[in-house]
Amino acid sequence: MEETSEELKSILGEEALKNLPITIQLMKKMKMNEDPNSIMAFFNSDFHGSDMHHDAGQYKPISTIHNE
Amino acid sequence: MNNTHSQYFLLYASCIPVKGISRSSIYDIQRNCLRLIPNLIYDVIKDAENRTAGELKKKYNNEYDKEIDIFFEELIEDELGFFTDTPKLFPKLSLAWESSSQISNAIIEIKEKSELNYNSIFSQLDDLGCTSIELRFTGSPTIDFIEHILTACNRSRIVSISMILPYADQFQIDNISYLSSKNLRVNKIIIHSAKENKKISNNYMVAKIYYTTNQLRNSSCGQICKENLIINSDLFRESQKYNSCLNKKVTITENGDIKNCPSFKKKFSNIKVKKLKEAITDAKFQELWHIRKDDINICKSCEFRYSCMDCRAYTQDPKNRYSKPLKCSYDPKTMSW
Amino acid sequence: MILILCESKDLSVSEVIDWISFLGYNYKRVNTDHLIDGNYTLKLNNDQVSYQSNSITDDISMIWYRGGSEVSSYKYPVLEKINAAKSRMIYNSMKMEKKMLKKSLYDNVLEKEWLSNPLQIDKLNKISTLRLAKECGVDIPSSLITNSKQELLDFLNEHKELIVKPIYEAYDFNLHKEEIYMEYTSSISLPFIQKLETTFFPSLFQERLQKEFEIRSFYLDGDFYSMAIFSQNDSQTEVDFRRYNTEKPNRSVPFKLPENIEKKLNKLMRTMELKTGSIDIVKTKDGRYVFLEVNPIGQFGMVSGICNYNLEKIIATYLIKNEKWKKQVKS
Repeated sequence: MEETSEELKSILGEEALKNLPITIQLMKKMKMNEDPNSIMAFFNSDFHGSDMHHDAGQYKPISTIHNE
Repeated sequence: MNNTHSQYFLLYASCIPVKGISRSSIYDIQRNCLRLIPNLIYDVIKDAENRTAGELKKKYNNEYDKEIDIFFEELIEDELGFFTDTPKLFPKLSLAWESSSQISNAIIEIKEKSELNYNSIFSQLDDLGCTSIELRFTGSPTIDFIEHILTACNRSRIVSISMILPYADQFQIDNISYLSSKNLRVNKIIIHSAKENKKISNNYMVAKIYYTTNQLRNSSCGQICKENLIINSDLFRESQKYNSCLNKKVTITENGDIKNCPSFKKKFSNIKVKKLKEAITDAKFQELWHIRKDDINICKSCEFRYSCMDCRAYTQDPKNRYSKPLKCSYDPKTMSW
Repeated sequence: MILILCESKDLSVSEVIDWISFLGYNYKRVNTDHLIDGNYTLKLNNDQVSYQSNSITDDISMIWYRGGSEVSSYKYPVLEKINAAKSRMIYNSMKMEKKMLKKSLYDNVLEKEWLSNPLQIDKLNKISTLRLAKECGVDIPSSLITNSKQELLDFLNEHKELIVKPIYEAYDFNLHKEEIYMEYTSSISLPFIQKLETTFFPSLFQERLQKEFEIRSFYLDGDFYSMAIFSQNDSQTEVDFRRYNTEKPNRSVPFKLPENIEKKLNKLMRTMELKTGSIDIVKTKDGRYVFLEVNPIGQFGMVSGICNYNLEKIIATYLIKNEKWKKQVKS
């Protein structure tokens, strides 16, 4: 069942938390993705289409000249 | 299990069964993996698509009720399928494949002091909507020259670049990492004919860097092996109608010849005299784009046929355009590599 | 021409733009998070707006509005040298200033065809949407906003299981670079309620629905593109599927909403004057289709990719068609 995390109590203060919305009291911690593949390489996209993450359009290798 | 008697068992739409000559596969194109199953199970799954569990068991004369129950339980446990009262609300996944690119990927041979105008080539590729390129360098290019080439791709639709370089003294790891960190579009750098084999990839770099002692030539291409199989939605759908390697691909050689791939002898004009757009819209140029795995001898009966890169350059019988790729050692009949 | 107002990092927009170009049409993209550093000028005396030295008022007849985050202000000096209270004050006033800056852009191009109009979107909120949904005959979760422990206990008694969610929208803050605290939809139990004070900060409570699966439906001018998400298989995502399980994503498949449900939802969208949006629905184990909320600037990339609906092309085609129509009407 849901409970206020001890860490959150120490960050915001137990008494202060009691006066905040219940959804704040029940906030959950999430780890940001540390997977190297998740590095987001965004480029300047002003007035341009596909300046986006490098993975886009890469669902297969261009050649099989090199085996990883 | 009585409560499922009147229900339908469906595979999740992204789990697609594919029949081979000796066994079948379930392609899971949401989680990108593949499950091998006996052909008998393939038939049961297909029969279950338009029958309730009760009707299905009856079809098999109620001789395998227990086996069928256990089998469905396993598939549910592995999250490959589910029971439903309303199968009509769960349409199949459309296998259509459409692309907003006229050319999606390109291989470009590059040498320093070439008479080719690389800026113009990249700009033409950009106009065609090309997203991925492989740069095959020859000779011993300087770091400055490579940077100059990469800069030409900035602010273009080309968002993933792999580079193949023959080993030279200037390609020490520091220089290569520097290139990679300055050019986020680069996602793979392969240095061949190197002194040792090593792989460098870490959290701080977009690109993976490989040093290999092998000498890579055009004829090194076309390898199909267990380790190279790729399971994802795009490749699965693209290979239903198109060639998994050559579709929307173009090659420009060192001399500017326009080809389907570097391993072919056949040229379609030269970039010095023809616009890329004209060359690639020629029906002859696109002919090989339409050779599907389902058309190729032996491959058409293979359970892995929508997960490999085909090869039309090196085939078992060069006279037969539907011949199996030369460098694939898998025999779907005996199921051995 | 088509004008696109969006965030610089909106990848779905880039994909739609690729289709617009492929189909041979022109567009202008304005990244509203870069209004400060992106060279934005509004000349009130002749109604001219320009961005990156390009006019965005001339020759535009269709605008695609993708919302987007706050205007970024990283070029502004750090206010650390003044005391915390003063810096908060300046920060708040900057926030309003930036909001109005964005509004100045919308106001000036209002006479166009929109997908969807930001002024219309600004009028909506979670509670009013639920009320409108009910009026349109759409099933909604039994909901209660209260600050009273007794009311909450009675509500629990009636529904057995409850959830709590933000009245406005989910808030988050960074702890470190790698860790983030987020508000989610949470289930709450009797022991938790018993520990509450007699009165507390008013919160939104709803009956906890027994899910068979969730449905996310992308709506575009009368058409529904729906996806069923089997989030109940995974306890990590059971209550709120935004708590993504990245290693093993929830099973998600194309889904066809029953016709009578689509009809009512269509009525709701038309009542709200929204031409597009992402609609969240729960299909309960006892057969109800319960509407949760609509996001007028919904993310459609996931539904499009997993279900292969190719919404990027469908949206591009829609924008082109309506741009042509609006142009004809004008001339």
